[in-house]
Amino acid sequence: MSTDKGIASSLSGIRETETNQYGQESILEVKGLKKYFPVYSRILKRKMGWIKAVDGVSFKIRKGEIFGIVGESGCGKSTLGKTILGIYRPNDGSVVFKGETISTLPTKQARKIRMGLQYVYQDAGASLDPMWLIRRTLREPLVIHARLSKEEIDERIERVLAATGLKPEHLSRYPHEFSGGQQRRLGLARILCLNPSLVILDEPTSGLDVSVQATILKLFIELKHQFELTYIFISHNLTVVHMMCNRMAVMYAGKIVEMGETHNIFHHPIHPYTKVLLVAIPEVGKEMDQNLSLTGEPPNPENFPSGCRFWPRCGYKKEICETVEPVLKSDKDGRWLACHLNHMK
Amino acid sequence: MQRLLEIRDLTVHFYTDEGTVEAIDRCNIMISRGEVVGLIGESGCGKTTTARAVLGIIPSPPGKIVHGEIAFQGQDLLKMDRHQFNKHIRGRAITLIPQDPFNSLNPLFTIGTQIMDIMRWKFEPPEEDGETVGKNTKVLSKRHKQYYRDKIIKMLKQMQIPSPEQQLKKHPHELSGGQRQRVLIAMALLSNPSLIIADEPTTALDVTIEAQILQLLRQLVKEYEVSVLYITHDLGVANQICDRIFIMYAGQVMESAPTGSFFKSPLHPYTQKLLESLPKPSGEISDIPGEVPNLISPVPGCRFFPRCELANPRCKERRPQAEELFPDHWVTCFHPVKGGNRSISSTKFVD
Repeated sequence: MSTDKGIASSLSGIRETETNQYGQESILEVKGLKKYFPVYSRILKRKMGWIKAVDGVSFKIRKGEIFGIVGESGCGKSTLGKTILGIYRPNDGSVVFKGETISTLPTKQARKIRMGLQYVYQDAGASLDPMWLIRRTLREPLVIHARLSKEEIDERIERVLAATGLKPEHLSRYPHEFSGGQQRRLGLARILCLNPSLVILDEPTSGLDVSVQATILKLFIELKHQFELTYIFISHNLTVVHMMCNRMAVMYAGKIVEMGETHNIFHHPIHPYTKVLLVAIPEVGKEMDQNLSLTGEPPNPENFPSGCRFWPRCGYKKEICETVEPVLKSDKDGRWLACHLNHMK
Repeated sequence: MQRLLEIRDLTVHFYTDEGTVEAIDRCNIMISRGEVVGLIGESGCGKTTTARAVLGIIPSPPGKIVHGEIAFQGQDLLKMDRHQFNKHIRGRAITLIPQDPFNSLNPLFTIGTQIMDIMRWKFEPPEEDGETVGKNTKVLSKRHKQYYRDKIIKMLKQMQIPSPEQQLKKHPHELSGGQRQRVLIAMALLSNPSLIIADEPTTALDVTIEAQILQLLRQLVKEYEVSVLYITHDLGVANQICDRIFIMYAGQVMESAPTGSFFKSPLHPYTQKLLESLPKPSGEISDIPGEVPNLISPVPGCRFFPRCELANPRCKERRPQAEELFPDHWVTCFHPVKGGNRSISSTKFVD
């Protein structure tokens, strides 16, 4: 236990002390990113409309930070992550990674740059090929991306295996032989082979038990230091985001509604949606809020309400909210907000 | 308080090709009338198997209840006649809210048809104008149908489902996850049960919807004076909805206490470790070293001992008895940890 406590205490406080150390050097910049999916009619397959999964999202990520993206399911978190990576081509806007606009580059060049930009999938088990030995799965990215000899490949795999807490004998096993926690480790090992600098973690702890979750989160922080990583942490689990992230963005219906330092947002949420989201988290040591002001459900992405997309559920709505869409603006403390109520003040 | 359900020494084994999986080992759980009891634990610890044993739906083979009794309103369910059990207990006195609202409704039938089906088979026909309306017959007369329909619509209104008349004509895919879960809760409540088993009913839902459903459940429990066995792995949810908590680990009940003292001053080393591993805003992370044991021929003693810091050889050999160390606070451990801010007078505690 003494060693565990040691690690825990050394990990605690990382966030506070390092927040000020980040330079202004941004590793990733997303400008007005839009991703729409067409909806076709049933028989004639005519275009009926668009699902606006990501609708004009902009933010910057500084080197070495953990940036959280939170929101309910269907708000466009994962689509945003995949569009940044280039799995989806954006309809509008750009993604600038290390000074290069990767969203408009031809596929071949973009692929090279994208080596440094990796994605860890939500369902760790399903993202490993069930018919392949782990050795083959871990080798594949190196064979595609890097021209290395067999020995060099083996050496790299050994190194990442050790870093992710796996053993060499695991190489000759199949994915189904691993537990949920180990499958996450494998997913991480696979991408770390390529020495990425930015890793997008899509719901990295969903479906894990609390005790396993703690182990995996600990691993993320250890790896971040060892490999000098920057994380985008996509999650709907707010308590985990609170613990892990320096900065965060709250998404609702394809747009960012609030963005800023995690600590500030949790202690002083301004946007009505962020407020209800924080009230709704069930937590140990918190009483159930009897007069929960939130009603209704997230809007249909095919047909968003006019004006602010949150107004049908908002407890503070004014007339202007129903007609005019609020713009994401920053105040002097570096807090970004898209809400008429705040802008009027 | 009057006991509604008493599970005593329940032991469930699964006979598989690899060997006998001792899924539940001498499990004791009590539920009083009108109480919400939380059964918490990590995945694979036997929460759902316990619930299935109560409902009599353990797949057999390979599963078998080898020992124990489940007393419901003074009757042992395990010794009960199957026909009587189906007619009066399962789906009537004890109902289930399933885990996954997306797969628990038949996609081919409308919501109305599915609820009506439940009414037809499980609803006690009331006395109306001196004559009995409806029996458990397959064909319902128009008048009975209308009577049932009114009941259903009243219930759906109570579930805060907007315009229930229209919803009845819809198929499950036309409803959102939250709405489907509300329909399932309505289905569980229609037969006026005395015990509802809720198997992780909010796991598949978002936080804001989850909060709404939990609030609704709380209201309904008060209104219908029904007991709930709430199965969850989310400690935060358990804290909000339960009056009393039982925690399981690898098929054994480790500790049980009223919710307040359970979270404030846990006594079992496992409970304490689990609460410590919750994410904290300070950024501090602590986990439980080791892994959940294999349940094929496990040790005869406490199953947490390989991961427990306070374990001694005795823990491996012998299973500790559940002891009531504080009023209503039971723990199954030879060396319980000093609890929170309570004054300890017993010498049983290890520093």
